[in-house]
Amino acid sequence: MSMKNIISHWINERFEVEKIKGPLKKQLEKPLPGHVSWFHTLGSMSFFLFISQVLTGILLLVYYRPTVDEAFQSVKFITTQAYMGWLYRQIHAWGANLMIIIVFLHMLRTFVTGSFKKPREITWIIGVFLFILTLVFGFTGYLLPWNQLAYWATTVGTEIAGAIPFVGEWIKTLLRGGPNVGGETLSRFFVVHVIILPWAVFFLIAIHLFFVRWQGIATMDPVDQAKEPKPEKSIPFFPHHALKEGIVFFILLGWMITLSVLMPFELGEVANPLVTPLAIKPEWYFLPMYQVIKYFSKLAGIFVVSLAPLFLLVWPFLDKSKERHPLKRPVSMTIGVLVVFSLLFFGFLGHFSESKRRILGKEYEFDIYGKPHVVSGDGIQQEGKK
Amino acid sequence: MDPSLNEKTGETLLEKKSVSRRDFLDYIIQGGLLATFMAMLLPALSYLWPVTRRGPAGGMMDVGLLDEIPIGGSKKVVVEGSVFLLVRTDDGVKAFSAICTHLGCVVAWDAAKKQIECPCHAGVFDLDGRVVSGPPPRPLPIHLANIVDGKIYIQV
Amino acid sequence: MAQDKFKNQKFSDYSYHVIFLLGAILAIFFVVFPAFAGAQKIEGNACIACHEDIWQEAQDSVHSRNGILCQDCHGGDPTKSDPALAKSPETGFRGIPEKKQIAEICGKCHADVEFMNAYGVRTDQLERYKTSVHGKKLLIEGDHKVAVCSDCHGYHDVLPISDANSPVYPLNIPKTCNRCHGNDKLMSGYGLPTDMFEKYSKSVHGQALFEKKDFSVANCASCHGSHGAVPPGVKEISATCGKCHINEKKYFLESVHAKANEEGNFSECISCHSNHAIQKPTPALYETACVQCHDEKSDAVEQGRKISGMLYHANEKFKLTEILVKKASMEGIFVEEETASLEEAKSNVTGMAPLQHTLSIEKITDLDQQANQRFAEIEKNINQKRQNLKMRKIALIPIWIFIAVMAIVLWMKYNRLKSGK
Repeated sequence: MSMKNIISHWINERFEVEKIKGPLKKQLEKPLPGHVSWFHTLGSMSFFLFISQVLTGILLLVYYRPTVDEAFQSVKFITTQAYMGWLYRQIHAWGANLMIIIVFLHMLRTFVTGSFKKPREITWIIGVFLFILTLVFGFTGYLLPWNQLAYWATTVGTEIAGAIPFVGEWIKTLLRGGPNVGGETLSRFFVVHVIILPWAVFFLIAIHLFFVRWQGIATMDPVDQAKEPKPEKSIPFFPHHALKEGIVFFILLGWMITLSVLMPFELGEVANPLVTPLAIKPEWYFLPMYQVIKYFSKLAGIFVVSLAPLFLLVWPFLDKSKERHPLKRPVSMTIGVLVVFSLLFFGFLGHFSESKRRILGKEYEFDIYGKPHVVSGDGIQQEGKK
Repeated sequence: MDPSLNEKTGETLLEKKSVSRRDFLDYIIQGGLLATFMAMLLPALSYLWPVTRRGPAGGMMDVGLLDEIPIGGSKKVVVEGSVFLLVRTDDGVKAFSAICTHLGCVVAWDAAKKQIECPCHAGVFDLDGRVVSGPPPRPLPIHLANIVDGKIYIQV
Repeated sequence: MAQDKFKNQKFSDYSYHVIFLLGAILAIFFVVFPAFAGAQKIEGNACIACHEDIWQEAQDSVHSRNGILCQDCHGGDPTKSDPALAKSPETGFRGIPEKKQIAEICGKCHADVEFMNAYGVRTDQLERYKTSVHGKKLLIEGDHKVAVCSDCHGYHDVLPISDANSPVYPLNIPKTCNRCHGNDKLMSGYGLPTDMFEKYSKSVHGQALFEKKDFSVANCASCHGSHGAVPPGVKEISATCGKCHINEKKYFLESVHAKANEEGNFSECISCHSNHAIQKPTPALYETACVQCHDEKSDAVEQGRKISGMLYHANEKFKLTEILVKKASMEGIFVEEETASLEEAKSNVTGMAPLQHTLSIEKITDLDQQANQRFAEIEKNINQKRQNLKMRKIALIPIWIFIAVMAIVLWMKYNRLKSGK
């Protein structure tokens, strides 16, 4: 008997492998509806990025030290001394950014194909939570290198929480672990980033995936009229769809490495609470929110911004039409398109605000609302800017 | 041994062999996946291997052996991009920042005069880092130095 | 950590209290007691009864606070309330003392070792004053326009030197000297210039004193002396400057100019650096200094230019290398060794400044080469490390080839599976 047979025999004697082989095979080869496209790999890619973040995160943790005195130095150590450390830090940083994009695109795909509708409302809600947690991952992780950008972005970010009526000050202090961003903030952000969030996201993903497998991939048929996918029109998850996912996986991996090498995140200078850099802004994924808040009074701004996740959560109960096909849901699609455009619009506005740029040979200065002003030819700055 | 079980496993193995003919494509895919996996695993293992011969221990840096410096002698060491001056006295080692507080020249130990001298503008410091003479505006920063098992540790 | 902070805070609170208490006790000993003793004297002091206005001036002086009162300088008997009796000739009353007398009156106490020991004040001032130009003019020639003790220290309101209001506090010395030495009318009789204060204020020393409040810097008295005020003679200049600029003096004495100085043809430091208006020297100084004595086309000027060039290039190179290292560090390159090497190179470059006073090309070249060697090493190392960074980019090519192969193979497999159905 070969070694392989001995081992499989040994296991078979103890566990009734044959019994679960059937359901396992069924799950693996479960036919997917015919409309399943490249866009349906986004979910797996989100999952892959999560795994990648966990693995690179563990590697970074080996050398990272979450104290005010050592955080920056230890990250510097990782990027300059530890063999391949730079790559792991860059993959972790780029992975975080890509994960937000891909999770968002995955959500957009679900929205467009109407997959969130009955009976998959709970899967959608869990997905929204996963998206929010991904953003929180980004927010908490951004502080950990303890550089100037991180320190001040966190100061601004937690300041926004302070504007919430009644409980704002309390939340701000709780987030910061004190009146200012400091060592205590670093400690709690660290705990949230490496203990609480990974496990929370892990269990949410498990439930999310379980529901997806249990209820199957949504077809494009209207709600309550879903038909079993026809065998000749459907493809099995494994190996057919998995091969497609493999292709996307390799391209994504390539992109992550390429971005890490060609556009590395610079560490910059160590956090200095006494020196405020010019025009501090949060990370790009918070920019639309950050920009919108500027147009309202503090309180109204918070209210407007907090509507967004609320709408996302209750969306399956607002959009109750039976149709799934995007062309048959003009109102929902219009809203969706408007939301995406406004996110892009305010995001870019936030990006340009409080900066000076040369566009088509003319120098423009953008005020905090993102409105451009032409700077006079002799280069003298116009007064009245904070 | 249950013969039927054996028969069954044999059957499925045979089945598999006949159904999925391992062609060239599969070899590339499997080889590629293995290569990808190894390309991820090996750098990770090398990353874990310690890179510094002398690491920090309890906030102290190992800067060499006590025996390397004779009593009354000195040694310059580089730690974290800065130069430090170790002076061995009768009862241990004293560690100073070797950067003169005047204009930043690297100071040296004068064993005969038992004082630290800056070659640039004749600044002189004593064994407590205090300015004895010359232009330095501040004393030479002194760093905690400990000797454990014949090794010198300084706090940077 | 927070606990430590708390502890420190508590400790400093506590120590603050202790210091305050000690201070209070000391204050009682040194201020209240003598003042009390003085107060007893003041009670019955007849001078003060009439000269209340002068007492206002004098009461806060270091003398009044130590019980040295009117009669100790002016004579007279303060126990007699009748002015005629108090100022009678038997009492040794001398009223406003003559300038010549002042030095002697002050010296009565200030040259008395036994008396002054109690206050820890030196006693050689009078002796020194007698050797000074001021002292000689006054005591031998009887010139009453020159400075005596009171002209610098004040008279009724004399304060200790350490008091910031004292005219002889280091920060105030230049102004105090300038009261006379800036007066054209007064100085014209002696043929002395009056623009020193203006020049000094703009000089490297003056700026350090007035702007940075650096008291270790040279003021008038540092070079000219105080009580023994004499202008430094041609031969003593390096001794004067060399008090602080030790290495510069040492190296200067090795130079060819040291001999010229002996012969009286060269005036040491000031020949190149000037005196009151001394500026922070740069290599450009060679351009203007050498040609004052040497012919424009002489070898000496040529040699000066060579040294100047070396200094200039070494400084520039240092700045460039410093920027290079900083940039590399920002790029994520590990530059610990290079930073340390840069410190050593800085030492070489900074050391060239005093060494140039030897005017020896060999010696300066030696340091210059050491520095250049280090610069070259740093540059080489950083370029090497940058090259390694480039390798990362090159490595992307095989990675993408691999990815392309995998994508194509997977896609072929997918199509084969689909068509096989």
